[in-house]
Amino acid sequence: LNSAALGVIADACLSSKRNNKELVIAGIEPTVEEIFNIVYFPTFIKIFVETEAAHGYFQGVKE
Amino acid sequence: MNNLQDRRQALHISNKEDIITAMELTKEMAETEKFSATDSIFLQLATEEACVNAYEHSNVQQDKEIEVIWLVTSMEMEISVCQKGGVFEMPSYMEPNLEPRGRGLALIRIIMDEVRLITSGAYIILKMYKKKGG
Repeated sequence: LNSAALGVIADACLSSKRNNKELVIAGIEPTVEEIFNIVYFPTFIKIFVETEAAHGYFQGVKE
Repeated sequence: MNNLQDRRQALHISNKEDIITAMELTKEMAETEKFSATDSIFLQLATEEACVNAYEHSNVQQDKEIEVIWLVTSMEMEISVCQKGGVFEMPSYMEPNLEPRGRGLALIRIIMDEVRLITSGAYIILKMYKKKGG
């Protein structure tokens, strides 16, 4: 995970919002989570360490 | 670093594949000196970001004059990336950024313990330091 990849994810997040969709990040290792926190990703994208938590989040959004 | 057991290594970067080699060398040295897995990942990331920045900013388009120098002890790793020309500034802090670019140098600033930008004639040297467990 480098700054170029972070840029791609940020851009994809913006694109999804423009299309009334929501992109989240899930299933990440602690070091990767730390990098996302360093670049303030949690201010504009939801991050879940476990994929099950992301599934639960979208389930809640649907209901 | 005046320790007699310092390890010094250098690599000339002339194409993008060399940047991968630089990251592999950083990983190898971090493992040899028993830096943690997290430190190793951060050191590789700093190596990549510094080299990519030098590659993109260097004035020389055909024959890139970029050199990476490692000085490693059991306590600290110093990575210097020297490029010819291509002035840039180190950001002093990271801020939320929704743009596709502009995170590399700020990332280096945060994941390394100390960063210095030195201008020497036509050359610019980015020196990055990380202590073991720092």
